[in-house]
Amino acid sequence: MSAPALRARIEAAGYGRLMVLRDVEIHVSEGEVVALLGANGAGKTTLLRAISGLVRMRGTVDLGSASVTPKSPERMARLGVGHVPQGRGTFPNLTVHENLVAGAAARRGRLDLKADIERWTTVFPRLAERMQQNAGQLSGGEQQMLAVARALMGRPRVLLLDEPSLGLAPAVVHELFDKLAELNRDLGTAMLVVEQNATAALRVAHRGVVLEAGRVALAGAADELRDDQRVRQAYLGL
Amino acid sequence: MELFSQRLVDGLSSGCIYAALALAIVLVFRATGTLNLAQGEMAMFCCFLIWKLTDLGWPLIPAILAGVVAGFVGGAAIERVIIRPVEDSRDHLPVIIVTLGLLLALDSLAGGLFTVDTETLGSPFPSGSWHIGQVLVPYSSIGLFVVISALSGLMWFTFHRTRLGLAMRASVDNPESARLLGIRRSRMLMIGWGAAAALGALAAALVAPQTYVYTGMLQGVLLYAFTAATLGGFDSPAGAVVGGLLVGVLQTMVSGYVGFVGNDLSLMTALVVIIVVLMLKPTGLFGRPDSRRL
Repeated sequence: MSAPALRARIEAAGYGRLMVLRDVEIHVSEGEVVALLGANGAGKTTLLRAISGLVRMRGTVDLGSASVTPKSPERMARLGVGHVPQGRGTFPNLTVHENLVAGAAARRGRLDLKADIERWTTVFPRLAERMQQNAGQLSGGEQQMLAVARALMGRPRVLLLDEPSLGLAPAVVHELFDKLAELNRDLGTAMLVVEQNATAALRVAHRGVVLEAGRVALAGAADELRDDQRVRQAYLGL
Repeated sequence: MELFSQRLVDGLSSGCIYAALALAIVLVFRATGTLNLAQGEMAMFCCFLIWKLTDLGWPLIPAILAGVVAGFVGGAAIERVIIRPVEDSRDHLPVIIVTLGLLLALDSLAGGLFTVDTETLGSPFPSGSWHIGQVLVPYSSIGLFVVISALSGLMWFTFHRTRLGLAMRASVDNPESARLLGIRRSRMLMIGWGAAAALGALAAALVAPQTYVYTGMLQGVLLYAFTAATLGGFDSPAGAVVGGLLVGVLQTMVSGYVGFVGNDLSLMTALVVIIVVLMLKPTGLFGRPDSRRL
């Protein structure tokens, strides 16, 4: 088996004295989509933020052959972690085009950004129509797509997505997850997706991991989890 | 009519001085999202350094260049050592208060280190004036105008057409997202402070022949510069220049034609302009409104 795109072994992570995660291990294989599920406060967002260096952690993160303890998000971005934060985190006063160019900030040397921009605006055609508009004027769904496209501009080894469905209408959520599935299928981008909307996430994920109170409570193939009685009751509302 | 024209030219001349410092204020604001109340004192300090070098026998131009470099290094160092510990992307008040302390500290330091006397610095521009009829346009003002226009253009170009400028703007617009994309925010802040201090040093050296070199040389100017930045829009280099010129003209005209204002109350003009702009057009003439959706 080839080395996973991402493997995180977190002994502890949290904010100051408050430890949110304890002994969590998670991996995402090359070309795999993993859904990270769990109730509010289970530590899903903290897990993503620990991997990308926004939250202090003890432990290691392996990215391909590199093995590091994340200390700063700048460095993790350079190592190939693309992180789409909760609430999208676009640059509202920069144009869509500028947002995309900024997405390649971690890449070195002379870049053919035009080709990359064209590629992602083909995937997200609605962005192409709004290149010169400020990102702050976009709808929620468009901003979420911009945030994903921007992260892809950095050519990440693994893409972390934090609640991409937050605040979006059901039809838009459906469209967005279709796009994510398409990206994964066509490009083989590995993804770790945190979601409250377990139905949407498990529709496109290969595997699912359920966090409970800072620990892994359950893990398995996506279709197994979909049928699991505990998951159905707790997260799928069935 | 002649008197009016001469006042117009005088106003534009002082306007250039305000615009020069306003550019430095705008630069820090664009690059770090905060205000530096010590911008004028930092420039004054560099100007004293330049004066000291010429006093030691350096020719003027190399002395100015050395002062500009010292400004960059000093500005970056101040950011790293004094500003960084209180830096918080969500709350700018601590930084602004610290810059207020810095203003007082630099004021005393310059007095102690150099002199509390008033010194003179030569001008890199030719002396004399261009005569248009009876109206005199000093060559130094023309030179200053050319320099600040070029700097304003350079700033606009850097912010809008280079990757460094884009990284700076991104880092101000959403600090966390910028870091997640690999933009080194701390480096952006240092460069921003350094560049603004370098710009301030140049501005101070160019206006020093008119203001003379003393610890308070830019205190009045700073107030007008803030007025200029408010009028022009805090995020616009072109706005800083236009705002500076307008404030200069307005100040000269009001002092000249409104009897009771005269020279004594001319700072009032600045205050009135700030209040009127904030009431009627808070983004200034050239500023763009924040397009954040709440």
